Amino acid sequence: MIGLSIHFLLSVIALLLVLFFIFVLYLFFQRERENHFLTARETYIKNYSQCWYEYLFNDEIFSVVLVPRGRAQVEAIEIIFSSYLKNIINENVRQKIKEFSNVYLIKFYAQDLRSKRWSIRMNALYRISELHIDELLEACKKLERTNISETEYFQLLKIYSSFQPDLFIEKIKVPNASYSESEYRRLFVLLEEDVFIRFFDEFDRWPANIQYAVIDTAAAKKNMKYIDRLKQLLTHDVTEIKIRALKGLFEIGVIDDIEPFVPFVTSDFWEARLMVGKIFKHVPLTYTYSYLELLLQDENWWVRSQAAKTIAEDREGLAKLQQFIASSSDQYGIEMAQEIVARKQGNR
Amino acid sequence: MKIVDYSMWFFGGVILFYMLFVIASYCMMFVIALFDLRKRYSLDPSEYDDAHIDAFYSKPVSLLVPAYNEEVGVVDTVYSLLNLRYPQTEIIIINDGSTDNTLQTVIEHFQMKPVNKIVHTNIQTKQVIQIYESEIYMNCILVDKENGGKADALNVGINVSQYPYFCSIDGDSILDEKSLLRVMKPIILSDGEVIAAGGNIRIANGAKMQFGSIYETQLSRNYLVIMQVIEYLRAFLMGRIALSKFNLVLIISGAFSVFSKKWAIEAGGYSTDIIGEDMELVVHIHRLIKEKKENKRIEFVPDPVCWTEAPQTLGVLRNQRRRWHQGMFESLWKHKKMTLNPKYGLIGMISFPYFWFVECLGPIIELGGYIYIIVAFFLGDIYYEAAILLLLLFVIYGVIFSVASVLFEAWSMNTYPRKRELLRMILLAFTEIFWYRPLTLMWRCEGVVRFMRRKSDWGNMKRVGIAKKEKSV
Amino acid sequence: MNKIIIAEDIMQEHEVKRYFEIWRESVIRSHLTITAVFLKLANFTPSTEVERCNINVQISNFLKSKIRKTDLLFQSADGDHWGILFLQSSDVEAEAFLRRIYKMLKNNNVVKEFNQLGIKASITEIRNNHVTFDTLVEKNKEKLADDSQPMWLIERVTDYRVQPIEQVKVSIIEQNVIFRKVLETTLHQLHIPNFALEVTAYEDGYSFLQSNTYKSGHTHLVVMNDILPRKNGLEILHTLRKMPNEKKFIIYMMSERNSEGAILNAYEGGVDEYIVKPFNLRLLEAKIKRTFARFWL
Repeated sequence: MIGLSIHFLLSVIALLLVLFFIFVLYLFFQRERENHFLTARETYIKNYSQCWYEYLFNDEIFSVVLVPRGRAQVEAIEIIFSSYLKNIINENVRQKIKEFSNVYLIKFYAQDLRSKRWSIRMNALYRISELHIDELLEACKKLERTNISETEYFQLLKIYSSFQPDLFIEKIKVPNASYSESEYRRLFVLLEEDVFIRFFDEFDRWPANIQYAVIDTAAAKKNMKYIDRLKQLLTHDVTEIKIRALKGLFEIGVIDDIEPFVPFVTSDFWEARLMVGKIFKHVPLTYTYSYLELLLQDENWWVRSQAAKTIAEDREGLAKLQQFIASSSDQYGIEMAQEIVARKQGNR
Repeated sequence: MKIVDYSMWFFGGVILFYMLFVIASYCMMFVIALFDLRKRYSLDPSEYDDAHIDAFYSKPVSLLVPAYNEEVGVVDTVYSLLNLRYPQTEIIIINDGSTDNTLQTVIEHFQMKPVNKIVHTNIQTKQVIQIYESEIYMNCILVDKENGGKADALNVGINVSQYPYFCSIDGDSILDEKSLLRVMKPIILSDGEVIAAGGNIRIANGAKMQFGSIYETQLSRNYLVIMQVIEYLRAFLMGRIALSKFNLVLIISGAFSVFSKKWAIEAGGYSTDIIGEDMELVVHIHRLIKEKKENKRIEFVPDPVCWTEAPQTLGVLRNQRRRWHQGMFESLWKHKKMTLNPKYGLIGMISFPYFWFVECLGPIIELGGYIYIIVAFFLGDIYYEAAILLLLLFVIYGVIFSVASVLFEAWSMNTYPRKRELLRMILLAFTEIFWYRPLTLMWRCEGVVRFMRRKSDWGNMKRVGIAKKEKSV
Repeated sequence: MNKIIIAEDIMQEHEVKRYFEIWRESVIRSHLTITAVFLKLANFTPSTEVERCNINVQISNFLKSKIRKTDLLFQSADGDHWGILFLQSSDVEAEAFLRRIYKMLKNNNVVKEFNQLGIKASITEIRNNHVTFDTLVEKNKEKLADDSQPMWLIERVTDYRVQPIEQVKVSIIEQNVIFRKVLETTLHQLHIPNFALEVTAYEDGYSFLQSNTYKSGHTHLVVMNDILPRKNGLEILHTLRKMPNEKKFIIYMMSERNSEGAILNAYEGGVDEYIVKPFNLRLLEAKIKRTFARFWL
């Protein structure tokens, strides 16, 4: 029996070695092709990037030599385009790139979308949204009907959001897949103001991830139009939403009335109290000092620290803090005030 | 004679079945890893990279660099961290009471000025002597503390850090500019469901670098180093990736890993009384996850790259391996009650047995196998064939798997693109079972012995600090 | 009797000459525009020496009360002319000054007393160092020599207003080859009056610092990324700002990191402009032009 196994193992090893040998040959062949591809790509970049610059920026007439022949040149053009788009804002250039891609690159990406390999399809989807190839919208919709992964669906949503916002809203209402907050942010950031604001209209129908992303995106856009919407959310039932709305209002940084924030000074959640402490940075100290003094005696270290920092930012702040140190009986509050005063008076 | 026969049969059988089991499990993990990697081959990562360089999509990370007598390497490490493409980081260099010029070097290079800073003591540590801040880079901090070992240094770093995630980087490693962005990817995309992630380690020997940037990669000419390169590839393909897919990773490299600060603190930070502190933390966090019945994961990310110097001499390598193995044993031992405990889910039922059986006891059995072959040859007769059978299994286990790893890595990741280098690695892989394998087995067994011995004198353990060129993969 | 009447506390031509020579050299070194104004009584011959003396003193006092502390008033050697040197002022400011004092003089009692008394002036804007003090005085006297010139006239000597072309070094440090080329071309084509740009591009921080170009005394515009391989932007910033003549550097930092902290750090470290990528090239050009336009008045 052992003899048999030895024989069996020997043949397995021999077979594997032969397979490996063939595989090595295949790999070398593959390497050769890859090298060839890379050289072709580099040559195109070297020879034509100046032409591209002249065409895109200096309005030189378009030359047919720029039209890609083969995959290597397509990749070279992708590299050139993305270097421009990543570094430079120029509507004219963007438009030209879009027009060119819609005419000359479309057939390559249409083919890629039908590829069996996931990575190839993903790359094609990236390019379609990066280069604004709206001619391929229908092909994308067709792709959606096949069995695709969540990551591909995400790219499709991104494409819809820039080509056809209505379709995007429609799709996102159907919970086909759920994404993380940061992914939703990426989808929302590109939306036009009038489309985006619709998310506030039916705020409660969205899942939590979308709600959070909407609030954070509104804050990041620093658009005054969203202030009222965020203020409405301050009375929402969910604490996390209230805290995020507070954070958003702090980030937009325009506070015309402290009334809506006063209730949060005595909130049960220290995060909310912390955010109020931050928001009061945007309001003159005369209106907020009495509340900040309360926060300075808070049980939470972060809240105390923020209150002290906010007070110290005002021109009268140091005096107020010193007055507090002299008059208060709250030991923790005094310590915090002393620390901030010391830091403020120090050289940094 | 009877006893010899029976024991030969018995040991032969044990070793044989062990080998078959290991070969089978490696094959399985290998296949899973290959599918996973090949799927991603030629995917353009820049879409994610470009979007997430914006602070709006990412979370800030504190980078902790513990340094004990690292005056040569630490500056380059910090440079590589300064060049990371990541929106928000702070760099915290922790000088663990170095006896060389580490402190002065860092102070001079980055124009460090002493500052007063209040440190939140989340984890008890040795005394902090002074905190410095760089005049050039506002986000660069140096903490000078009393010597307390790597784990203690990292704990100080955790206390000083202000961001929700921290990343530990050894004081002589170099990070690729996009590695942090990508190692954070599973954390960001899972909305914090992934609470720790480890990156891939690459051996920097042979690569040319300057001021923390690698500008030319080359395979080292040192056979010992090439052998380690192959070993890394193997560990990577037949282990990490597959385990990570099912949330079963117990080791993420201490040289480059990100943790959620909240969870690390809950686990009490790094254990200072143990050698394999990085593995211990991962196991501990796994344990916490299960005990709190939370749906969290720990991932290994195949792509992000951390460059590290591998030992070039047998002596240093021996030291390293001994420590690794001892560290692994200690971590498993500390949490031994998780073994085969259904309360701990797959970690308890699969990971732990796997690590005990294959990773910890493996070297002993394998070494036994080598001895068995020698003995069987001398006994001759029927054992002769048994010896050959076992030898063939060793060939499959050692040579075939190594060659396959090299080849399939080239197919799916293409990390070493030069043909000549590929050939050199394949040829060297054939020699593995004759020298490298037995040597490392012996060292690892030494680790086991040391672990056993230390059980008795737990009290007067000597901290070695973070010796140069010693870190776990 | 042609005795020159000297107002007691007013500087004389020969005293001013030495100052002028020093300032003239600063014209180029510090981009300091000087404008000289010469004034003379127009169309007026005093009937007596006393009267002439009287008027002279009064005009001197009047002018002295009207100039700023940075301007320098003096009287020419022949006693007929007053000169004022305006430091860091262009002829626009000088002309505004003249119009103002003309208006005042017209309403002034002295002028009213001596019917028909008026002043004329000539302006010389100096933006290069080709002029000596003597020729300056000579040329202006010539301009005002004609006695038939009307009152309240403003003449101009325009021989010295052409700025010399200044060599400026421009260093671009950017990793992406294609974008680096774009920046190089754009800045190369950028035309800034009176400045000649010498553009060089580097792919990383180290090669820039190795090149030693930053050690020369030229005004030096550095356009660089914040993240660079081998010595990043912040370190270069620090190196340059630590140099003794750091003021000659104009540093623009480009970054794709749009985070408040990073931007504040960069400005505190001493960048002149922080540009978040992607940006508009035309905007960059405009900013650079504006920066250079501010150099000269």
